[in-house]
Amino acid sequence: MELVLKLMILGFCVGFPCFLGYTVVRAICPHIRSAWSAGLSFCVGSGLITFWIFVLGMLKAPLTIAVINWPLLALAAMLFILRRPGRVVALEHNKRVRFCKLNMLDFRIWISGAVFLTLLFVVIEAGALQTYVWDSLSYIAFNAKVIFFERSFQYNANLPHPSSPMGIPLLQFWFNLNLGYWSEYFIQAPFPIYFISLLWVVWSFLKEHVSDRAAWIGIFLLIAANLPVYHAAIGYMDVALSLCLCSSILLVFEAVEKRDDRLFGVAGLCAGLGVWTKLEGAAFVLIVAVLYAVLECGLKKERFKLRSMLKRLVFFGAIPVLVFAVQWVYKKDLGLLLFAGRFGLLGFGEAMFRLKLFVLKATESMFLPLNWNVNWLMWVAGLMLTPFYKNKLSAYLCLGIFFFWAAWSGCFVLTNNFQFMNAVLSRAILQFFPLVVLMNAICFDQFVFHEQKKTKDNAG
Amino acid sequence: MSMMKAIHHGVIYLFAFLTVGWILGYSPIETGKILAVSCYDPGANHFKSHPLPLNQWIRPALFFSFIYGFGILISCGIENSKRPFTFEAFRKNIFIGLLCIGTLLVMVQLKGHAMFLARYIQVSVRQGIIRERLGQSLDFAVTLADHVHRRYSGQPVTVGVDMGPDCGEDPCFYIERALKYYLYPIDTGDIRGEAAVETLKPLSR
Repeated sequence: MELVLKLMILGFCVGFPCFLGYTVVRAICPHIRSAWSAGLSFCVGSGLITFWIFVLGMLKAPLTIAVINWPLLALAAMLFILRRPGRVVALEHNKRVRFCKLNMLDFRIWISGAVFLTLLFVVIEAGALQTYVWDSLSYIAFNAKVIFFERSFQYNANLPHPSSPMGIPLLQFWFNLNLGYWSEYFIQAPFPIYFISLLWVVWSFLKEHVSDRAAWIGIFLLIAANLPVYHAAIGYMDVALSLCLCSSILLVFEAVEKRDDRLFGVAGLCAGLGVWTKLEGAAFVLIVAVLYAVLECGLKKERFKLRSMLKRLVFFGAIPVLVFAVQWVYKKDLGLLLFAGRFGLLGFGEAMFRLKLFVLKATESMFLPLNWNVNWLMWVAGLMLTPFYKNKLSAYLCLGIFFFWAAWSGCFVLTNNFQFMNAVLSRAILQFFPLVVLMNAICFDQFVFHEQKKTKDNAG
Repeated sequence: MSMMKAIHHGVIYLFAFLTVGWILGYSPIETGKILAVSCYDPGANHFKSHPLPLNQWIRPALFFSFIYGFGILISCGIENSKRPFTFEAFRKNIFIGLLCIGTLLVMVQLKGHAMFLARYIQVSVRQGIIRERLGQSLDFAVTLADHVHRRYSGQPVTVGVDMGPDCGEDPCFYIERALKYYLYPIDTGDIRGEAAVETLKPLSR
């Protein structure tokens, strides 16, 4: 009976953010593809819930179930009732999966099996092992625990890493608030869901832009990487940030392609959630904005309009700026440093030496341990052997990857984050890793499967 | 790429996998298990890889590089014997080869993942329980915290944690953090900024 009750509460803790997130995304962009609204629903919903808790905490309001949940339930219900009917955009006929036509020799069966087994392991690990990883014990779950037992923000200035965004700790707090007591296992529940959302977002984007086979290969390459899969079961924030970031980048691309301004709003919402998840989310918003500017400038002369571009940038940046501003007010009120003093500049004298160490460490991280399977090797092979730049999406993703590398190299080489480089670099790569998988899937689509078709056509 | 071609490439790389394993002195059945142990040592910051037994100079990355190189030679050789070998065919073989290596790695990783879970989770189907087996350091911290909570529930208690002067590295550093976390709401980290006299409220479980 107790287990059934716990499962029902878990169902609520997952289902309610999904419902809230779904209605909010649809409210911003009524005709967004349902795959996007489904994939982003938990991320958006949980972000809204935790931001609401944060605002309540700042206003010293009581942090109870009634005060937190009821207004949001009312908001979700209102948005659902008032929703505008959007165009239903179904996948093209040949892109839908028809499992009744699959047989055991079909590679999609085997990939589905690998995905299923991987997710099964992730869920078992998250559900059966209590918090044990370093950052979770040190500050993520610890901060959530303090807020849970104190039911206020009065001691937040004394918390470890007090400048760190509160998105994930407040989500863990909310899960246990609904449960009624502190459970070391319940707080692990959001992380597999973030990973499943990431899989869903990557999958649905690939289904729209590449062939069916390449989409399956893409999803296989994502679950083949050890580090993201491991992070799906432990209480770290990097998979959540990866989901927010990559969704934002992909939505900007779709927004420019479809000339749909409302998609910029959803992209901005995802970017804002990135700011709400980790400190570096704020810097990544700038990268996404620059990527958008590059895309827009690459348009034909008659389609490019500076005023429209600036308007869209404002639309995109509104939510990240709002999230950043609220956090800035909170930190100022508590006397905290804006970026936790993590960006003190180092002297330029030994910058070349640090750069050399960074390059060595990055190369080692990409190719030697088994964090990423063959993804980075495949990516490098794609850069060297294919005219990837001729494909607009591929070039866009490649530019994004290079921007992220540049940002992280600047962060490690020029600031006092250099001392954490050995420990943190692989997790930094994890944040933009799905872009690499997407590029690899496009490579397969353009240069393996289409090559095959061309050879057959020529032979015919 | 048709299914038959995929199987054709899969067979080539499986053959390469078994051949390289045999050359290095492992039986076919051993190779998978050895690689699962060497390849799957998870960490939050990165995965550690370990040298293979019998051949300490070989790490999994090098092992799979041998397989890849051998497999590429075979597949390019077969392709060349059928039709004139072009750059496009070479490129296609590079990508398909990487995908086959990736598939082999996934099989090894899934086995490694299962072994990792078996190490830390005890399942008793008859009793219908799933129980975790904690690592030594975490077990110490959790057990001590649990004992303190149960023993001193409802009593005013002063709690300090003295890990000794040389507690700057793991496992001591880790245990200190874990204790601070698992003892809360007993505040040993000066969060409340009060004197460390705590009345322990019973934790509902």
